[in-house]
Amino acid sequence: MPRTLYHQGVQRKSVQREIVFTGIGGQGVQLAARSLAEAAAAEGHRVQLFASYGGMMRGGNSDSFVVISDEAITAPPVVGSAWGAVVMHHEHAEPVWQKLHEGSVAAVNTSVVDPASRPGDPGVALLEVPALDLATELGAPMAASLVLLGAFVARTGIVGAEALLGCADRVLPGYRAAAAGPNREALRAGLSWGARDRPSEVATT
Amino acid sequence: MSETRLMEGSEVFADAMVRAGCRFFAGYPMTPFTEVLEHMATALPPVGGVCINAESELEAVGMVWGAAATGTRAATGSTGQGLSLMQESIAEASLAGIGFVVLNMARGQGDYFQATRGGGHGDYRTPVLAPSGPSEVSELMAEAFELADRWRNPVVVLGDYYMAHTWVDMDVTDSPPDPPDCPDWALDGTSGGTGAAKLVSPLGTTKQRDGVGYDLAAHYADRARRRAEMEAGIAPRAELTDTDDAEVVVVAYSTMARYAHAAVTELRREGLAVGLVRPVTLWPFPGDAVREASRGAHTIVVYENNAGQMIDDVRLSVLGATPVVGHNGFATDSSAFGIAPDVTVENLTSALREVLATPREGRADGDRPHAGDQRTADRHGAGSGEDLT
Repeated sequence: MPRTLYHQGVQRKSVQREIVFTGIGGQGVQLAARSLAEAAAAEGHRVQLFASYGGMMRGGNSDSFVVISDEAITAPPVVGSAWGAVVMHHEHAEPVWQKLHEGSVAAVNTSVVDPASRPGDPGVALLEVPALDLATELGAPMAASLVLLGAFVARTGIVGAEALLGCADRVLPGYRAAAAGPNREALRAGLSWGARDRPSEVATT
Repeated sequence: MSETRLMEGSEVFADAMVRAGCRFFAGYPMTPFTEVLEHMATALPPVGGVCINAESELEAVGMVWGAAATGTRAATGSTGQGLSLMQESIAEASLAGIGFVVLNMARGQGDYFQATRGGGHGDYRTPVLAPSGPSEVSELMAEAFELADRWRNPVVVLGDYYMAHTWVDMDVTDSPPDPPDCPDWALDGTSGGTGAAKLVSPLGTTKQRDGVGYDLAAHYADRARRRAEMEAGIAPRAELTDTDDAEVVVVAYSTMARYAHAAVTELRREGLAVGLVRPVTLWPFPGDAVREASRGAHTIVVYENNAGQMIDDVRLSVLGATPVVGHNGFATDSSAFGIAPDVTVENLTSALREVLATPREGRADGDRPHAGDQRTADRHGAGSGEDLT
């Protein structure tokens, strides 16, 4: 049985969740998006992921659009509005901010993202994570996007931690197999960060 | 035994080809076709097939022509740019009565005319199938190979960058079925030199006695007859959404239809009478479906990621009975992969609201209610069907 998608503890059935990833080439945006999609598929959800990256492999825009649902997905590749966002870099984030609305959650890599770059809608919940710093402390700066994803997952519960950690091997090509361990640690670090920063705790401080 | 797996769109295309019985594939890399070629290189050897990274598109289609002449289910592909190089062979293969599948992993939708009209010589046509996303690829790819076999003619399947890079959860079974047996006409290398040799050529299937050669009149007449049979024998298909009482009907194919579907769904939620026709076969074009679906509409909006190509087929379908306007001409991404920043649900809903609020009926000739950098009014005069008579 697929897990029921939920947000902040409220159980809902037959919902569709759109999560947009943005950053620049080389930041691990596509790997993070793919990890979330794999985890959702492993839990039995219907999944669609559109990966948009240009000819510029390094430094150009890298975006990804993940749709998770319990029904067949008809959404277009680039979704019009998003329930969540994972923002690794501000350079190409503006169209992403525009897709967020009241109740959306945005995980932001504060190690890199310009504090001036913010969603237009004040109702968007920001989850600020120094993802690159945390990943660097782990000795795996290349896994910063997975720290950020882990925090997003812990905060939103979009997929279970087990499913997320379980796909760390599957998303890597054979020649990158050695990175699975450090990547899993990065996901764990993010999961811990996100769990300690749940909205209920924030409200009491 | 079946399992579900997250699969990249380009792999979905490759997997669908192998499951449809394709055992020979040749191509030359070009984004976003490259990924399909890579997946075919992985998928074909384990089932006894062959995949070749040719030295150019010209060689690739030539190899596929040869393989298909032996009765092997074969396919090639590229983006529209590479397919331009293949047009001569596609035309000749059609004249020779050789069927294979041609995959266009297009950049945008600028290849509509190339796909539906063909850029080669002679009196030929190619059936064209247009899935709206990876989930529909498997079914249409199987149909494409069936059509190629049935009509002994190249068949085009249109994909795009969006589909190549869209991952979806797919049910995958353990092993693909065996391909069908070779047809009787296929070259098998056993009857050469006997005078009764099988012949598969754009010039004819039989050779007259020495000194006379081929009878092209007879051969071309035969191919023309088979072409007409093919056109009559393939049922044009379209998927209709909310067209029954629609005042405005959108016509869109491929990935663009997914944006249109989202826009129509959103506007219907607001009670606005808008519908969608998605052609699944682009040749033969589902003109009857377009005409019937737009019977009660005051405007047809053709939504395309090009400067307006399918709009010609829509105009031919309604012959002026319903005004036709285009919503097209979108700028592309910096790599020109056809990722148009303004191809969004919001952009289309906004355009459709405007069209819904301004019925074309009774408007003066030449009025251009939708002129703008992303919207082109009907070049024949928006709102006046008489222009086409």
